[in-house]
Amino acid sequence: MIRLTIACLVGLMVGLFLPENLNIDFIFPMILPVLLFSVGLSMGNIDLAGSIRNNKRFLFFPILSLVGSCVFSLIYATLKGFEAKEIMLAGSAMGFYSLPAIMVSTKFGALAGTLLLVTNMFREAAVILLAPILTRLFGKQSIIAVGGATTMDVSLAVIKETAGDEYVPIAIINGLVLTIGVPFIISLFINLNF
Amino acid sequence: MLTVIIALLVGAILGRFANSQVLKTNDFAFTLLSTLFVFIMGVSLGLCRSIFSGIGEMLFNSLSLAIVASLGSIILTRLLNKLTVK
Repeated sequence: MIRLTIACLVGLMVGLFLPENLNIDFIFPMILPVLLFSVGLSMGNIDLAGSIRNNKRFLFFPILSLVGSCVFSLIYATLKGFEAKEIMLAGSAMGFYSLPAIMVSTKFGALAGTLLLVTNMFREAAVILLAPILTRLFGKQSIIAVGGATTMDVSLAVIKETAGDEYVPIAIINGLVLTIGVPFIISLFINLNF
Repeated sequence: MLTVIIALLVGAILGRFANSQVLKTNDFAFTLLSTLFVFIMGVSLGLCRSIFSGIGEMLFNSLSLAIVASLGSIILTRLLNKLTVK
């Protein structure tokens, strides 16, 4: 767990000394499939169906995670006096920023879209960079709750590493449900009048 | 997105036929790759100097909203755990 934190901090230091116009984002799409292939390979021995049967309560996990995120976003908007709809849209994206950001930008403008984008990028980064701390503070499930829709791809490797193999099926189900559900929730919130 | 799902599925199918030596090598490769992934993530973060120089209130609001929304998710899912675990 310490290894990942150190790797991130060393990377951060290296990044600070590199030229600012250097673009390394093209590396992520190259590494990610390899990483996920590796996760899949070790998953081959896990009984996914059996895991779901034994942990049926985890089917409620993505729903409660989404509800919690929405309710707390609403409380945040009320306390800070912000536009509730825009804050709830940003909070309900659950780490899924590409499509929801475009949907929100189209309807409410670039600022609302950027708020959604950056909020959910922070959320995704939090899982990858703070997984050991989150696990220690709130338990192993917390990284899946924070990761939201990213738990079936980007953050799956970190979840496997930090929480262990038994949490991989839960993370995949959670990510799958939210990846499919979030665009519908976003379009529902966009069209709701509140 | 499709690429990673395919990679995961292909890995899972091949994993059914993998022996312990392959799985051991895979674990080692996974450790290396995940470290590399997080390292590059850190480099990428370091290259975004604007985050450190402060681009204003929007970043702060995004960060605080991300924390609050995540906390909401954590609390409700922990509640699920507390209610359902015998």
